[in-house]
Amino acid sequence: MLSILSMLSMLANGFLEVLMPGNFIYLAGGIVLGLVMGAIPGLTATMAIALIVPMTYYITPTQSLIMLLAAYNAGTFGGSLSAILIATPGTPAAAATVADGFALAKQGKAVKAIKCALWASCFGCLFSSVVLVLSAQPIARYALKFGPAEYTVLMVFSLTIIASAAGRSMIKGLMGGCLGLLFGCVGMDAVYTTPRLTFGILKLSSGIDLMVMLIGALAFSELLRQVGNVRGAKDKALLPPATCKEDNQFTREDFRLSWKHWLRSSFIGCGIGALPGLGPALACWVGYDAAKRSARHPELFGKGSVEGIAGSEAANNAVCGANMIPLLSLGVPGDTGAAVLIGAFLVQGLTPGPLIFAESPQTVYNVYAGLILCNIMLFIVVMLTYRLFAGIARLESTLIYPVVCVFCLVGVYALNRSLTDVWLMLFFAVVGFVLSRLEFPIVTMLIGFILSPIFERNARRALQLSFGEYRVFFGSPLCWFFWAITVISVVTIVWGKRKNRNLQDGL
Amino acid sequence: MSLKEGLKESQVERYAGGFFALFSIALYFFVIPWQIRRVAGASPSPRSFPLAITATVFALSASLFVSGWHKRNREDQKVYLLSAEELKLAGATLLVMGAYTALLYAFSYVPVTIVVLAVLIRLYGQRTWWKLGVTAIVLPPLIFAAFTYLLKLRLP
Repeated sequence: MLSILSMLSMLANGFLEVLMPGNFIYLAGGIVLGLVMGAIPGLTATMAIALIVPMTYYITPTQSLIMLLAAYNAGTFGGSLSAILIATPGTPAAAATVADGFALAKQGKAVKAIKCALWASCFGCLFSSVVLVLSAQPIARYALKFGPAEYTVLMVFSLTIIASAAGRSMIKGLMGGCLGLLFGCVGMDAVYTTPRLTFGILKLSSGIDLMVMLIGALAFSELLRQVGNVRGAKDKALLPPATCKEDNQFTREDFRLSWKHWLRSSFIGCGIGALPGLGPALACWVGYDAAKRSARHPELFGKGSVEGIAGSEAANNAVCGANMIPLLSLGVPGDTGAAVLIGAFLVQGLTPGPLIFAESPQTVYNVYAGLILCNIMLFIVVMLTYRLFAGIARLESTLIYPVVCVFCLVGVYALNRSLTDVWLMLFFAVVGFVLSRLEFPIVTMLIGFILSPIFERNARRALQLSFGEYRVFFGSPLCWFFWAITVISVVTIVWGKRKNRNLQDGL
Repeated sequence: MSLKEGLKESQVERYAGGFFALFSIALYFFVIPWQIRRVAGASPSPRSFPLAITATVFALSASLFVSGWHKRNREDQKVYLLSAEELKLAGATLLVMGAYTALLYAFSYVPVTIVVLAVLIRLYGQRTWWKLGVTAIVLPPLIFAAFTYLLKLRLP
């Protein structure tokens, strides 16, 4: 009872803190930047936060984190604006919204589609924020009981589930994870302070900066992929205007059709977000599919169904809050967006994981409050400005991409004022570009890189405590539990993929 | 095999598997012993973790190679198309960014960025000169001012 009261009191303090003008302006700024970047096709929500992180180096942790979370949340929603207006998902998470959103827009109901997406998105994210508030601290409290051996096995579990979920080939996923682990070894050895894989480059003695790798392998490599199609891009046709007042409104009938899908898809989004590696791009399809199966008018799906938009949008935005659960409670990023957020936490001197609740509890509750408030703000901002986004979504990529190139460079340089970091960023851009062209999932490499120091530190500590006995990794019921779920998840996923292939062969 | 025909999934798996197998052998036997000093009496030593990962990469590369070998006669393979246009633009972008970084050692941020933005915008096919001019000339001073005066951060 006492802990619930203290949670509520810290949450109330969090709301007061976030509502202070000096903090609130960053929340609003994050929403606007996230919306603009999410609405531009080719710029994902993750890329948005990777590009915003450099602006947050010199502000307080609360300001920085609420700004980035607002950008992430708004960026995920922003993707649906271009999906609805120009049939091009601004982010992969909005892919399922294209069919019904653009179909409604072609009927002169673009505003209705945007409002449907907005209601669903805000509900999904609010729902997952509540789940986050209720679940992260209890999980973290339990995780404090983990010893180094349990943590090591948990890392193995995280890596295998990420690798298996992130792409068509589990081997490629695991290889990506291993490459990330290797990159994480660069720098001084934490125990014996001997340089490792630095090739005599002084800058590498302190290791590879997470933000350098994220901006290079994620944002810049994505840009290199996108520029290949930049010359073929065509201007999109204008949409017809609304024919009656109702075409621009989210009506009571729309609400009656949507609310069940919001709830179902929010549950789906929370489940997918809480598991490492799955992310909003998967959630939108699972939510859309679940909505179609239970819809009152399944025949309208793909032809402008409000239920379809509700299903996909609630699911993809529910991931935003839920993927903070493994990040805050275990220090394991849920997806690439959460991986970039880990970088932002580290830049602010905070280490995500169970100890964060003991070391900086109020900052965590400020983040919760920021996440909840950003949904309300997102709702207000979009209701006031949705007409502007038609123009933003049509901005020419020939102008956008060069500007993003320049921002990537400035962002990396700003981190340590070092041009060596910029060269490293270009190196990771090439690595990311080549690997992604060959369908090696980049997300596993990034998550491997983030987990590398935690994995190695715990594995070495466990081995030192057990005098080099490898049996320590099988020594407790918790270790066995993690090994068991690792095996079960790998077997299930391999079996699922094989079954899928057999089904395709049979067709 | 030409760029236009692309690479079959089995080919990609065999080439990538072969490349990473050789890469992991080089790492295991040459790079790691050269780059990580042996520490007497250390258990586990600073080399242990990188060596274990490298061994795992080798095992995975071998499986990828074998998987590609088994698939080599399958008809329904995914084909990886390597568009020459895509490679050309990605390569040119990297070259321009490399030159940009090198120029920043010698020149200040604003003039170099104006030139780089103009080159990239033109490279990506923008034909409207006023759009090119406005973006390339207006943005760099704005970015510079924002970083220098708002974020108190000096750019090169």
